[in-house]
Amino acid sequence: MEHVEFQLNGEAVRCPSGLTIAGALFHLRRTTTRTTRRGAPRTLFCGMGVCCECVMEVDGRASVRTCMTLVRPGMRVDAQRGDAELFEAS
Amino acid sequence: MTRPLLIVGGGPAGMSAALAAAEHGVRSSVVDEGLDLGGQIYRKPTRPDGGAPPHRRGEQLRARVAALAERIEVKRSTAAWGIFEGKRVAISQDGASELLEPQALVLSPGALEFVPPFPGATLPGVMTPGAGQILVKTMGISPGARVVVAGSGPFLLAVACQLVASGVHVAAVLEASPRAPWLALPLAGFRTPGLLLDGIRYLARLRLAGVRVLHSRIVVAAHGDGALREIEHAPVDADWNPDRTRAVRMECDALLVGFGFVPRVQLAQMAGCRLEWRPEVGGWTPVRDENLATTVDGVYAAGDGAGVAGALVAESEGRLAGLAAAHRLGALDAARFAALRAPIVARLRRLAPLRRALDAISLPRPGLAQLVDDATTVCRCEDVAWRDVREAVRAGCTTYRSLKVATRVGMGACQGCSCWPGVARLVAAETKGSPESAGPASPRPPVRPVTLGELAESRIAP
Repeated sequence: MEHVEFQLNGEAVRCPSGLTIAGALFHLRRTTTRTTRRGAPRTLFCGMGVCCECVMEVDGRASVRTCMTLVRPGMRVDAQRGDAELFEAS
Repeated sequence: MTRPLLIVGGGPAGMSAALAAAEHGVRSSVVDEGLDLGGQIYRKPTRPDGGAPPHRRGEQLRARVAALAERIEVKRSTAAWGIFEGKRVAISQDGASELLEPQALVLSPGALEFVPPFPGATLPGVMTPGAGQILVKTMGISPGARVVVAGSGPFLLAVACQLVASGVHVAAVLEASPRAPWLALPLAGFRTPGLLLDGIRYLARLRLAGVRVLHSRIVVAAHGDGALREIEHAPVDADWNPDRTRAVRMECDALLVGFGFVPRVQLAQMAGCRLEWRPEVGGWTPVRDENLATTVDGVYAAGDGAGVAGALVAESEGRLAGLAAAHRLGALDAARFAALRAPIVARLRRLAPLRRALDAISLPRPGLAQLVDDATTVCRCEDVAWRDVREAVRAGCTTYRSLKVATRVGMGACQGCSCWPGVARLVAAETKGSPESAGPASPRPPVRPVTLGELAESRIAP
């Protein structure tokens, strides 16, 4: 079985090749893709790109639907925080 | 250069439309968000060493499209995010947007599953039957170690069978409708024995695997701390009102729940097509004439996105829409069009009775509006609680637009696509009206996440 390695929330992980990012998260049993503005964890829900529950930051690009995107080697995938402060005091 | 015909959605309807038009020399582009053509029903496995073999009909349609590559251009992983006046369609692919200006447009976006809000529905592990099916069928990934499939309609049985075939433990199938009308289905389906046999085969396989199919039961709540741990299900009456005093708990780490399908009408709405309320086929649908033309000149609508009726109807409708578009573009004269149209209409008529019988059994009933409590999330994107929406309804907000402004419901990335069909039912229950009077959600481009940089780069000025 061929595998791919990628970065999940800053940590190196691996999964079989040919998975969507959302599929890889279920394979790894680390499913949280984002938190809502009330801090609730979310993950894959509709599986077909409609609900946007599974959006994550992928290679620095925000709100990528992980159910529609295949894992690529070396990809950087990060959870999105809905309750994060937009502008932190500097 | 934009090709004369643009088809948005490459499932059975979209592929058939492109093929029918190509037969008469019409060049088209098929735009689809997926990794390959097929839509949801004919989705191709992505993992070379996992998942189920692809559906034969889907493979045939894909092969026929590929054989006509000169005439049919396929744009995969491409989202249509806006339609502006004059059939101008904005699409995004690989982070770049462009505007297509076809002379005819076929909309075949398909449907999404209907999941009404209920306590715990947003817990990770709760997903649609379609999402679970995709995990197991295209990637060989199990949605959980112990799975409950719940909701209504024959799709639940198909998904439960696929899970079992892949070695996933299915704890139960909970069907909201009673058993008796299912037993009468052969009366409605004798002219479409293939579909009936599918259903009988599903039931036989589930029985063989020891999976219980319980009728007249609904999941009233999901529980867990940060992830699904157990569900509560209760018996329902004929209107699907649950009797919570008789609720029982069942352990599971995945719940696949869906009550049929809702047509995806965002694109039709942006194109300016008039909608009508047809609850028997899923809710709001574009108004169409006998050739599947919408109320906007040169825009056709085919398949589940124009009224949920399944893959076989979608394929026939797609063919009809493709021929109608070819006729409009001058590639097919009136006599020939009429001759080609007749057998399609006859086939659609043959498929109708079983479909109508299934709809009558499994269409959502008013009791689904009894599941929410104050804290239940009714809008997944914006995490809005029912308490806030109900207060706004009582203060006089009863339409999508007013509730969106008052509570942020439907304001998120999906633009009400997921939540509004459910919220409209809650509003109807609260005002003792019909979901129709709450109206459809009204999408604004971009209906898909597009960055500002991409918009600026594209120079698209509506």
